Amino acid sequence: MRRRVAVTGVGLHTPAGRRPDDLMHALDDGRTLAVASPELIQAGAPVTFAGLVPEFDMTGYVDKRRLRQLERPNMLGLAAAADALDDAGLPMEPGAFDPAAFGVAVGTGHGNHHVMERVATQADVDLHRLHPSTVTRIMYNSTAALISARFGAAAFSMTYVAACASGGMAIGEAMRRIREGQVVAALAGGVDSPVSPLTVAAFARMRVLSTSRADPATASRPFDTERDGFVLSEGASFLLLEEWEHAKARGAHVYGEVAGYHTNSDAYHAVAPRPDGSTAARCMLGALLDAGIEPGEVGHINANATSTWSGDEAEGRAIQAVFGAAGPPVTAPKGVLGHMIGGAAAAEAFASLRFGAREEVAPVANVDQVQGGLGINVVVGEPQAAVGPWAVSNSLGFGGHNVSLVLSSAG
Amino acid sequence: MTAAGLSCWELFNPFDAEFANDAYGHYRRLRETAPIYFHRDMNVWLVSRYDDITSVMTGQAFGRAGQLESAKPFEVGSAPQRLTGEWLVGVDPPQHTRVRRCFAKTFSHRRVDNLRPFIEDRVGALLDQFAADNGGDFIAMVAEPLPFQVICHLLGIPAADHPALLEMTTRMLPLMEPIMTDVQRASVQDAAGRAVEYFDNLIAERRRRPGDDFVSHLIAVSDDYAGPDGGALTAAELMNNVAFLFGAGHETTTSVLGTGMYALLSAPDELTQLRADPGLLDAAVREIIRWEAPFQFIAQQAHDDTLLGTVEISAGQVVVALLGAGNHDPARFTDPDSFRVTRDEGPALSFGAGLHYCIGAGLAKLEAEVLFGELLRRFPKLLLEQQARYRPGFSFRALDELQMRVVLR
Ligand code: HEM
Repeated sequence: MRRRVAVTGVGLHTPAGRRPDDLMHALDDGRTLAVASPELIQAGAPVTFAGLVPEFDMTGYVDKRRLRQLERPNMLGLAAAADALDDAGLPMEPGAFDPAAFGVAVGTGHGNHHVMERVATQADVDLHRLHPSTVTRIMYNSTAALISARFGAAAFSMTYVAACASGGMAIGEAMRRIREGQVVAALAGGVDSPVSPLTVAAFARMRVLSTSRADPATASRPFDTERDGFVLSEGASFLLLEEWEHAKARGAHVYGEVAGYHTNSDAYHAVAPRPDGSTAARCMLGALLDAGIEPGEVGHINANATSTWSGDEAEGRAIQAVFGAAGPPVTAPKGVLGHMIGGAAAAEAFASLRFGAREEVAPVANVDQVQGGLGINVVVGEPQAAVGPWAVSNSLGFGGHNVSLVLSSAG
Repeated sequence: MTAAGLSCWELFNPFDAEFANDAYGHYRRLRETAPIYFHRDMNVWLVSRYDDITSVMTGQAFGRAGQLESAKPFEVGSAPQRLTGEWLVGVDPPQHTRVRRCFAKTFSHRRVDNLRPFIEDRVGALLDQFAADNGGDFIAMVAEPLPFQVICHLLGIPAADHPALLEMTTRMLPLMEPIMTDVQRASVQDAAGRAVEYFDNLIAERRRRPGDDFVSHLIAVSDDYAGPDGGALTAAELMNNVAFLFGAGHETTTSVLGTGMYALLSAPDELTQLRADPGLLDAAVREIIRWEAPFQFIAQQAHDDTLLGTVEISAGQVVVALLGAGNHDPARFTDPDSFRVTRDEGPALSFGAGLHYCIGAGLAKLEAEVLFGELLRRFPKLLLEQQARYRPGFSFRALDELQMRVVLR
């Protein structure tokens, strides 16, 4: 029999805070958690609001001295990974699992490249006097390396860079390795902290960021006719994935299961999604096949929908193609959280498991009028009932990277 | 079994009256002669190297069942059994996972960090008194009251109950030793009976009138988890572990504050260096915690036949991990018997390792940092007045008394 993969812990450091309940309350509340950023304002960035993680005390997670060697994404990632262990009833220390049977997979779109930004934008960079830690601070894999070392995850330490699909890919690939019996457990998720003047300016130049400055709390509005782009956020989220029998034997609380995964590529354009959504549709079908269920069994869909015009439209078409007009309720947490890039997928997968468990899906934030002609069941205004434990959760990245996960909240 | 022609008691006798005064000498001899040693008369394996200890603490073949040997001679249903039977440190998964998760949820970083102002306030008040007397017994005047007041504050225990509780815990200390006298047994029995009653009442009271304290939050978390998956705590688990947290939260920290002060006073150059660079405080606290581990050993039991290095351990055998020995293993720490506030060589074993790693490590470090930071800030001179006295015994390492002087300027 195929091994099943349980979700036994979650760690969140998102604009909604760090407690799982805070995330669910924020999603139910339905306001975009965007705030004015003094750094962006001071730098005169074209967009000056973003989703930021509330301040927290890092010294509970690492020694003060080590702290100085960490960049923001490293901190958020380490803290979220630690919280996932804690949530699973395990010590935030090595030894929770046999190191040779424990891995870590991190998704990140931007890694630590703001460090390069910081170095490069100094008035006079002296090429003979860079800090010796410059490389370790810039490496995209630094968060994975730190988590692996900190918690004794020696079986693998992998970093997936696939824009907005990064975190989903990390979860799916880690799930496969547990299923194949290579490891009993893995920390899987992702992190990004891309809110810097240069990155914001670069995204703004692509015309993909929301500019509705009047009220940032309504800026992100997936599937709405008035949407004008996404809200850039920082955040980290990790799941502790664990082989089902192992989880049961140690008495772990099981949130649910990662039951299916598929990834493919639009093979279409450097940024724009394939407009008809056909590859994204095949991606969802692949994940459903992997989980061994039919589209009709899916209780709700957690859309990637970031609030960009073309992205939401293509995904809407993909969902329509797979599930038809009478499909399950579709929600989109990025209306509240903004886009945490690599940090999004694990938080959204967790939310989906909670929606399934409570049999109720939160509405998409700020939707007054769903874009006409999409033919899908977007949850608007009031929560909707989710029938059954199954959910599909999408992560679709710039560059045509598609990831679909199939989740089940059934114990 | 003999090693190097020594009988087992010649090689290692932790019950020697002088043991506490030269523990690290005893460990060194054992480690150098037989690092993984079966002590025939104690009927346990003794493990004294850092790496082997880590393997024993984290290894999948080891677990807890049959722990707290000293509580065993008390029959089922007796007060000590009713007080300690469900202690986190004594149980294995799946029970351990469920109970630990409830405690970890309640004991979040945020809660620990919220205690900082209270700790600062208490440190201030205790040091005011210490300054007014120009010093005195650091254990009785500072190291004991600070963690005690902090844990009482955390658990929401009213001040009126403090004296009785302090007496109760002192009398239960022999529970931690592998051997106790008849007089100690009777005393433990009586104190445990009163502790059961006290903590049962405390929990009942918090159920009736929940407040913003740890016990009320713990009850709420437990109730919250009482779903179809049955994550909640039983009444015994709740009571036992609140009592355990109470004891674990102050005796250990008192030990570290006392031995840490003694270490600093005994190494004036290190003290000077720390004064010159307060940025070292964090590292100094870690070194203090390495220097003397309050719990000197943790016993693990092999569930299955297993190999430790090249040594075969059979299922059912007990392996005693000597934390203090591992903390002074020269293969792990450079020049381990010297106290260095600048040491940066990774974690010591004092908080344990593996599934039972101490939940209160952050709080203990916070208390130490606030206290030593303030001591250095206030007193330009700190002087040792006489050699400190170690509490006799093997399990628990602490000072009974530490007479010192403080000079304001
Ligand atoms: C310097 C002070 C402290 C030291 C050296 C210390 C040491 C330890 C050690 C060695 C263990 C592991 C025992 C084992 O493997 O069975 C442990 C467990 C534990 N400690 Fe601490 N501790 C300290 C302070 C605290 C504080 C302040 C609290 C709480 C307020 C606390 C609560 C606990 C709890 C609940 C456990 C049980 C964890 C489990 O079994 O999963 N400790 N401690």
